[in-house]
Amino acid sequence: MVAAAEDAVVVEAKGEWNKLPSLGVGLGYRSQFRHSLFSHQSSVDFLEIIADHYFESSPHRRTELDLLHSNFPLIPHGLALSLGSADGLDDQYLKLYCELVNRLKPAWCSDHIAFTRAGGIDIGHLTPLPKTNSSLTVLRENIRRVKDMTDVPVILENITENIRFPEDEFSDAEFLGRVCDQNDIGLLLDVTNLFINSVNHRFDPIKVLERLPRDRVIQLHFVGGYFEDGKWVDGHGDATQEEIWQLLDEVVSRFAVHGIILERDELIPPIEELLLELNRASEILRKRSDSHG
Amino acid sequence: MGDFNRSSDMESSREALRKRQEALALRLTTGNRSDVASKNMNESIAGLSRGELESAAETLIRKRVSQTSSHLPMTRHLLGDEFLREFRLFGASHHFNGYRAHWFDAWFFAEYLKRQSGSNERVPWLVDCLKLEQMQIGLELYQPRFSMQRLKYQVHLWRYDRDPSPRKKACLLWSWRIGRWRGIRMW
Repeated sequence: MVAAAEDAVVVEAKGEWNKLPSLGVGLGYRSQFRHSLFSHQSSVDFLEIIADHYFESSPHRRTELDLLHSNFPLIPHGLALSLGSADGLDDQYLKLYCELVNRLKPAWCSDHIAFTRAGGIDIGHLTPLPKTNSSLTVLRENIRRVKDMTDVPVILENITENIRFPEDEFSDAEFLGRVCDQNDIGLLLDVTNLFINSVNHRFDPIKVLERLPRDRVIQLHFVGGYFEDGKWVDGHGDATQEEIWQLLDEVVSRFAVHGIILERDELIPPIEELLLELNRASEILRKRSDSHG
Repeated sequence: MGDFNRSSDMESSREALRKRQEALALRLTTGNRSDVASKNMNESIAGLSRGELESAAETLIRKRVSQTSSHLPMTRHLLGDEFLREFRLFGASHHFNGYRAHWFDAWFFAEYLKRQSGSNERVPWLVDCLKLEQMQIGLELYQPRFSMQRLKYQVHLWRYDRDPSPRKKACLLWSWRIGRWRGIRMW
């Protein structure tokens, strides 16, 4: 296995991205496969946990978190920091998120380039931002608040964009690059989301990859989607399609990725099926390591 | 003067973004309900594709249904497609904030169904199933130390698909939580 939890060093987010540990290939943790996970522990390099599930947690959740933390390197993944929110961050959510991150001391922590809250309403879903200078300003202010409260490197994920804005000033790649550069953060590149956006909005995903900052693609997400009413949907409930595997291979060949997570949330199959996908992702990662020495 | 103009431009574009996000949040969570749609809201989402907005709102409601189904699996199984139809009616007028919103969705949807299905002839034990599942949600949401419910039928947790017609048998359901230990029992 690639890296044990104790090898994970906290790197101050000052551009030293290549010093982050390589965590290997892991699973987005869901309690449905908790028991079978431990009987296949050696096949899973690390886990990504949903940070929100462990805020103000019940004794049962605390026990679960302690158990996971003592057996796997963990990466906390937030769902609702709402970094793109022009109203600013929710103080209580920010406090709980950073407390959890500082307690776990992970190699890095993550959330999304999106907003989930506006005008006092929690949308409950990741909503895209217009790719404009004012969105970049809002992101800069909100990310600064997170970085003021934790030294753990922050990486942010690209989402599926079911709404496009006519006022966009930047392309997808330009916007992602600017968010990373202006805030000294890394990118959690969701390969499935990139694939879905590229098909639904008709652009070449390789052109996006060509323009992303080379040292900032830290972690990947992948999972299958489904096609309905003429559009791809990120249902998180299907086996990964061949087109997505090909794009994942392309991404891994271009960037020094530090970790890959299979993010299956719905219709979770027996863990053996998930492990088949993890093995294939491990092979892709190993092939890249071999070719780069 | 140049700096002042630039700062003023930034403020106004930020305000426009804030209004757009607020209108979008309202549109996605309430759909096309005429009682909440205002002229300002419609202006703030002008230029966005109607089809994309409808598709995004549909994605959101499906996500809520999926999360609620995972907290109410017996009810989902018993109601089949009716579950989605009922949730659409419920979801249009109920929305919860915070990272525990999915638990509140499930709890209050169970309450809503209990009122709607008080005399469900097709599945007379639906209300008992709702009580049982709501008790589990209560353990996560409200962390009660002890609670009790009276049932008319003997329903079984996780055995609803193998035992589609529970016996009519008055019983008591009780749950407890002491420290990390918790459980539900039926008498």
